[in-house]
Amino acid sequence: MSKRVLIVDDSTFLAKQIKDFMEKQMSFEVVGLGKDGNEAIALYKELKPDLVTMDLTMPNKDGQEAIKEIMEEFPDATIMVVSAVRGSAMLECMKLGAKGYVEKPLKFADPIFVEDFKKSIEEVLEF
Amino acid sequence: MEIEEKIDKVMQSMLGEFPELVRNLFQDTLGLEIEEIDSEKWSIVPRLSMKQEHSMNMGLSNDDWSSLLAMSFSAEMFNLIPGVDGDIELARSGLGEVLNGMGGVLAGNSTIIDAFQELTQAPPMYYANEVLYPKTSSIQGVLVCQGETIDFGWACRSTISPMMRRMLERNKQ
Repeated sequence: MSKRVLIVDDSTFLAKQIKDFMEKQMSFEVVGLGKDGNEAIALYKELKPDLVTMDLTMPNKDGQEAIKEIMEEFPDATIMVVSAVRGSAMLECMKLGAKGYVEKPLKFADPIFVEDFKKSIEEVLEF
Repeated sequence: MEIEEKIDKVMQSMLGEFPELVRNLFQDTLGLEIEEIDSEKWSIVPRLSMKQEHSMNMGLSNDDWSSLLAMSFSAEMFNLIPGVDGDIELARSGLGEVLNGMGGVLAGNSTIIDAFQELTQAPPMYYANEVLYPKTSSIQGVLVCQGETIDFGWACRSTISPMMRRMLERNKQ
């Protein structure tokens, strides 16, 4: 049975890229798309996906706050951060319970990146 | 040093490795190959007031003029981005991501930051997902579509508007 994925990113372009990747490269089912932290929390509660890809810098409620709230209520949630933000934010997200961190830009034209991204997703799901 | 000279210094600081970093950003984010314009062909941006419009068009969440780089994209470019399939909003979103990445590149370039610091006397914003330096920008990235290739260069205002001069003077105080 394919994994069910929730993608949270305020960039329509990146959300589409990630969705295409999940569906075509991973054969996963993308069950929801959120554009900010509030939508992430609401969609998680509604959909209970196997995997969440979470951007950090988003309007209304950022990804870090959304991770905190989701993990408090659903400690088994599998969240992978996909963000251009580096440094301490990365560590903070892992402390909050995120299981992986992939840095933007997402180089989908680069086969090495694609392989690394696949492995990162698999590792997160096996965590 | 006169403000015009300082702006020129900022322009000079954007030579070097920065064009290469920008090229990589376009390649990595959008899968687009771009070529640098010969510096002698750089355009002069005639006005400053287009920045807010462009920032909003690019999908940045800036409420005011908070772009260091407001890039000018022609409609032709939208059609060159792989996977966009004529969806203008999607193209804008992708270009917005490039601008976000640009903020990260700038934040990591101390030469550019120092030059801007000298220009504005204001503290830089070291935050990857915001494009650097609010309200004082006078530099604009220029992308020129020519057939299947995209050229890019930096353009700088040759003169400073009274409004911008007031902002710069205010930041000095």
